[in-house]
Amino acid sequence: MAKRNGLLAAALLLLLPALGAEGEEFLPFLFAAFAITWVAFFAYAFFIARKQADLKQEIEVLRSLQDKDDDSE
Amino acid sequence: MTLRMSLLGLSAALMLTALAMVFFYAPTDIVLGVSQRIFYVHVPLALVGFLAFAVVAVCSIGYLWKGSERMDNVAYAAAEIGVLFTSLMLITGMLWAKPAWGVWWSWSPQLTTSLILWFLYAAYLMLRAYAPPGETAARYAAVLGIIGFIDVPIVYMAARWWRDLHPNKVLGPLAEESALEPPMQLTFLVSILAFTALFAWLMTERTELRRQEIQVERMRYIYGEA
Repeated sequence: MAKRNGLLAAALLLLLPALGAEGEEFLPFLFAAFAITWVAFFAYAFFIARKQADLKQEIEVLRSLQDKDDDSE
Repeated sequence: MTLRMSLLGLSAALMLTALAMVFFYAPTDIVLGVSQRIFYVHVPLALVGFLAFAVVAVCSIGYLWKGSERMDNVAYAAAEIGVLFTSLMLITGMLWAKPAWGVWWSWSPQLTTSLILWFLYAAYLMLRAYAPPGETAARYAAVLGIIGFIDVPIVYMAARWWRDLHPNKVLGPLAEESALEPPMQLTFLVSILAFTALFAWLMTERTELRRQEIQVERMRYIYGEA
């Protein structure tokens, strides 16, 4: 929890100099919009990569079964 | 280098450029302040979401016409990614609406039609998930994919046809020349390119995954759930 708060604070501090002073009270909204978008894209890319790896493994197993069947015939 | 790796590299490079431009190059809006920078993620998400649903509609027509499984796979992948983009568009829209309008959500025409669009393609995904696999489900989904796309021009035109809280359009036939300052225009353009490249990369990966899913389904059928 403390680590997460530290990361949040660090990100906000990094953003502040680039933004200037106007509407600073809305900074959490800006941070949330970008953070949610990036977390969602990384999670989706991770989901695809993980599922591809699982399916590749399953295809290998099924192929080896097929090869065994062909050999026994 | 494969096409998939090239697209990943391109989208990563464009995204980093876009992020740098959003925070270090684009000026802060005088009226909306820092929250206006949500625009550079919210609008490209919406536009690329529309592009995804256009791909669904075109590939669905192709599937119904030619019966090509590849077309169906591309339509399925585009629908899933389109729903992801549209979901994020709605979320970032709410995060922008609160500081700009003082409310998280308003039942204005453009927001309502956007939500309907999300429901239509969420229904498409539910149909694919729960209908028994095969041609019938693919055909029903293709019809839904084509009908759903009718809502896309309605979303775009909603602000003109009815009273709406959304500001003037910045892209397309309804765009006003003075809607954005030149640095904002350039940042916006780079953001659109970045999200389009990301969409292209996700499409190649998801279509490949879909192809693998079908291959496994067929092999399982042959080996009786071995």
